Amino acid sequence: MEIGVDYLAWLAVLIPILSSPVPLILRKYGSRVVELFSIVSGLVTLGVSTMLILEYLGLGEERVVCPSIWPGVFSAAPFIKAELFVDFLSALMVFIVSFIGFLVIVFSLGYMHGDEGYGRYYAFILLFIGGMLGVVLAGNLVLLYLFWEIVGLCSCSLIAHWYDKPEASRAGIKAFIVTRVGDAMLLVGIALAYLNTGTLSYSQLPEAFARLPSSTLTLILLLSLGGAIGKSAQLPLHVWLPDAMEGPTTVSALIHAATMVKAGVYLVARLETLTVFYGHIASHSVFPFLETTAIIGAITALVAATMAVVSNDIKRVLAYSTISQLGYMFLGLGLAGFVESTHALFSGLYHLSSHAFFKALLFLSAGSIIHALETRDMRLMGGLWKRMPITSIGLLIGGLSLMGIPPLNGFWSKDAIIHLSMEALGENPLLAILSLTGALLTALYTARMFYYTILRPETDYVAKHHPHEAPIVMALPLIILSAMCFLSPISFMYISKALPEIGEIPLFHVEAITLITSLTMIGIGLGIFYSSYYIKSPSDIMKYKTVVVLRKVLEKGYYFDDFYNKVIVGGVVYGLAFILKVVDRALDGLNMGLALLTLALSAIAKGLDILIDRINDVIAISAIRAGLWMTKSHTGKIARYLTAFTLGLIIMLIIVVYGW
Amino acid sequence: MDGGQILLEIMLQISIFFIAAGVLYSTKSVLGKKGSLIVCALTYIASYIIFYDLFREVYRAPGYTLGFGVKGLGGDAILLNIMTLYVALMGIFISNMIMFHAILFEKQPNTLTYASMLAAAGSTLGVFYSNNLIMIAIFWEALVVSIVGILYDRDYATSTEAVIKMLFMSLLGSTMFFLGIGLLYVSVAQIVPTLASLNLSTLTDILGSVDEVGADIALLSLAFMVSGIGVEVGLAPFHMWLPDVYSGTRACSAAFVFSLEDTAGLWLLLRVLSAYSRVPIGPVFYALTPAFVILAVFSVLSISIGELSALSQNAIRRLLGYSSIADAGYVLLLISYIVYSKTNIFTGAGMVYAAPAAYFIVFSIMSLTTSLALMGVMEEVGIKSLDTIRGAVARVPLLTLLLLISILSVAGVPPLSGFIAKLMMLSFLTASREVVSILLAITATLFFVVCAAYMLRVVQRATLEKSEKMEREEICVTPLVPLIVLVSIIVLAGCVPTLFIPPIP
Repeated sequence: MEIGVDYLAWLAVLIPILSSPVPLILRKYGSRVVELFSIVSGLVTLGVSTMLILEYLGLGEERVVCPSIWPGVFSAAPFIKAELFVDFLSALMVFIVSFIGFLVIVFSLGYMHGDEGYGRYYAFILLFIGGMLGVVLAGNLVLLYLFWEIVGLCSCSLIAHWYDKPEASRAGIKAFIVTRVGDAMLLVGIALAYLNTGTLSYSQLPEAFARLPSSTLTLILLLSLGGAIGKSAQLPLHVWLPDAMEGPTTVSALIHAATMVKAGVYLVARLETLTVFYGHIASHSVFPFLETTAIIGAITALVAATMAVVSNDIKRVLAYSTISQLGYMFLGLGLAGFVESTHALFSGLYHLSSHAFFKALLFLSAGSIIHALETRDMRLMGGLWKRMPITSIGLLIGGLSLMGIPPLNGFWSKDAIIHLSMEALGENPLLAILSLTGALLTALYTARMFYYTILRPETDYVAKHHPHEAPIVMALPLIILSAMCFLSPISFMYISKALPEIGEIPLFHVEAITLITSLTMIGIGLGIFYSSYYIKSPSDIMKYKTVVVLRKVLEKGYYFDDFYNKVIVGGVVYGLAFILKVVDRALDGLNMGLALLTLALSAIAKGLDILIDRINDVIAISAIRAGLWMTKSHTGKIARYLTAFTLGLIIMLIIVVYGW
Repeated sequence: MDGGQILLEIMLQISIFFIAAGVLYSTKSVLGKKGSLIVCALTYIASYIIFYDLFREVYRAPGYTLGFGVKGLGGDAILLNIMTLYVALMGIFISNMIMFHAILFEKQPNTLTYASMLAAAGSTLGVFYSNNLIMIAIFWEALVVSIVGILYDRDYATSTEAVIKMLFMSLLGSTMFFLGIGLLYVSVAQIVPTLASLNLSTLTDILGSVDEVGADIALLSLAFMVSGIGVEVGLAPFHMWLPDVYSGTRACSAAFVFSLEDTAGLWLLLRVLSAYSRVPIGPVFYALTPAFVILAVFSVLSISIGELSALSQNAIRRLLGYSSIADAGYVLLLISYIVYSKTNIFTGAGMVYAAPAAYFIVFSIMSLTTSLALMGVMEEVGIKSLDTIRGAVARVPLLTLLLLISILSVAGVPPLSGFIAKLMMLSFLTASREVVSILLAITATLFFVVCAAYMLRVVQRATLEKSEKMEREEICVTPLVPLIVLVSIIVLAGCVPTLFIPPIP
């Protein structure tokens, strides 16, 4: 039997999901069995995903709708059809998710070895991968939302993996709650889409969207964008991602590189393909959606980069960098409203692909360092170059790609976004300014990270800990990911051919002006770094009051958390307290009124009660007296019998006579 | 089977009882307890086989009734009809169980009593099958004589007095009944100048066509009929002898008499009085015929006197006696509505209306009779009244359980058959949604509550209250077996009533 795209797509989703409970069952046989099973499951998922992509590309079709392999499943409800959808976008995401997911599982063999909660960890990792594959392969918005929630649940559980640490459990809950804000908006968007189009299937939505009034469609898209903003940690819902660093670093790598945050970008890209590409809706019809996406992306790219500059926690630096890079992706996708939409989609997805590999590399490298030094504070690190060469090279390659240094993948993809933002300069100069400034800051914080970890001399802390290179199971993913930082554009090119408009765009083409501008910005960033850390020392810079204030603002993350805690949460709490007080008083009054009413009623009831009692007594006593009176006549004497008999007969005769 | 064979079979069924009675009485010194039991068992088994055959014949034959001409008795003297057969079978079955209980319970066999019981059963069958008022009167007299033999017990001090009272009142009742028959004949003979005019299957139509004078005389006959049958079944105010007899004789004898006399009497009441539904007399009140008024007044009188008098009773046997008076009143209430609605319930679609009446008669009598017989056993351990029944559940648990089930059935507690009987009766009364029937239903419901009140008082005393004497009493279970069968049927007929209502073809 030939296994087609539909079977492979379902297998790709179901294998990790169905195998996710197995680690919990196998726990009693020891960690090695669990690890082996997880590796095999991850590898099979990767194999099936690769086969799916190859099969899809071999078909030569733009879109493939995969109906349920069990006909009839969920077919009763029109909006909850179990169907999958394979196109260029989902194929790309499937590759990233399964590939990085597998490498993360391999890396976890070393990183999580000896952890008590290994069964739970691998169970959620597999479910996480399966959930994300479900998100990217779902054939309708309801199915997407179901998998979207699975991803959210897994991220919350994995962030709080070490739940005995209060920060970890708090971070897990925070991630869940903050993303819920966006999820609620997405759900409303989906509901609106169904109410207005009567379908949620990707195969029918493009035509249905095309028939909608522009305002309705924009509203649906903006609400869905809310969901993407929450999931992809874009401003102002970014606050959960830095805190999510409390989870295992492998989880961070998975969240940042392949799953969770990428789901938001995927959603925006999916909505864009459904409207602009498959629905052939003119981009100006959905311009508010695209513009909002671009602006939020650009602002996020810059703001997150500024916060990364002052952070001393290596994972937080990488977290902010993720937020910033996701901002670039949003910017790239949103630029469809300003420039050629195919180029915009291409740039956003290209950067998504590149970022997946270099960010996974960075996180796993950082994980290797944390594993060796048992700290995330960069100020305690230094001189790791000699002690951990492979990890250092991985960090370096990942960092350079993040900065956008040629010929690494980050350079090509980020340059494509910056180039498009510069093309849109005439319509919205802010986008180019923000993206270029972001590139400057990216260079600055990445170089700062290099400085603290690799470049500067070894610290006492490092000397005391005697860090050594990661074991082979941890080093191998780093080597592979390092290679992918050079090669990922090729894989992207291969998959993008499925969508001819995108496949035709040259991958390694750079405009001279863009190259010069972006490299200049990177140079400035590096120059600032050099002057701050080599010409002067950081303590010298800190003498400037403005720098101190600025640093504090940045360290506090622009007081977003404080704002949420004090204004939003506090406001809500105060508001609720106020309402409760008002309600309390109202209830007091009501209670008083009710009490008086009850008293009055009880008085009436008592009166009635007495009356009814009396009536009852009268009836009962009368009945008994009547009975007694009647039985009194029962003397047992035949004369009495005769009297009664005669009486009865007389009564009857009277009735008969009266009847005459 | 042709009509002659059926008539022969019916006569055989009646005769068996009389023959067996003769055998028992003549061999009283030879047959002991076991011998008496075997003779009785064989008699009843033979009777049941004939019942089976008659049921088959009734279902096989077209129409609903079968009549057979017997010269000299005025046409169709015997009537076969599903509901009559059903009530007869159930009456005989109840009496059968009570008789077995009596034989097993009595320490010394009393063959005179047993022979009288069998003769009473045969006479009752005669009353059930008779289709002519003359034949009914003859069999009824035979029944009264048999009852005298049952109730008389020289070892039981008060039984002689009770028998004299009963005999006196029965004679009075019979006189009234005969007087009623005579007046009725005077009324209808102008249309059909033979005894055939006293035939129940034609009486309704004949009474519907009498002239004004004939109608007046017919109404007078109704008054005498009601008083005559009323004495036998204990309708107020002709009831006064009944509680005295109930409490003045052995409980099992009283229960036996009650099971036959009341079943036959109430069914006879239904058959005879419903014939008056078409008497063409102008209304007493708007749309109310004198026949209806007489029946309604006396039914309410019986119900109220029966239930209210029971309320103030301390002796449980007397309490049950008054309750039976009320039950007779409820049946009269049903009859009054049948007369009001001018429905002939023994032919055609009207047969359906006989079902609730039949079920009510059978199961109210079964519940009361069982309670009465159980009280007889209880009296052996000194439990006679509401004062002495306290804590009975601890002393005689099985007996108390059986008594409580049968008493709760009398009280109309679901899911027992007494409840279904009352429910069917109320459904029957309220089905037509007429003001008169609703008023009758309301009256009945009010007194159902009174009935529940005094019956639950017995339950409360027996289960919740304690007495000084709480030791467990030893009781022989064997005599209770027939009563356990009756109690089981009371429960089963409540849970699955359709099993105990014969399908009407």
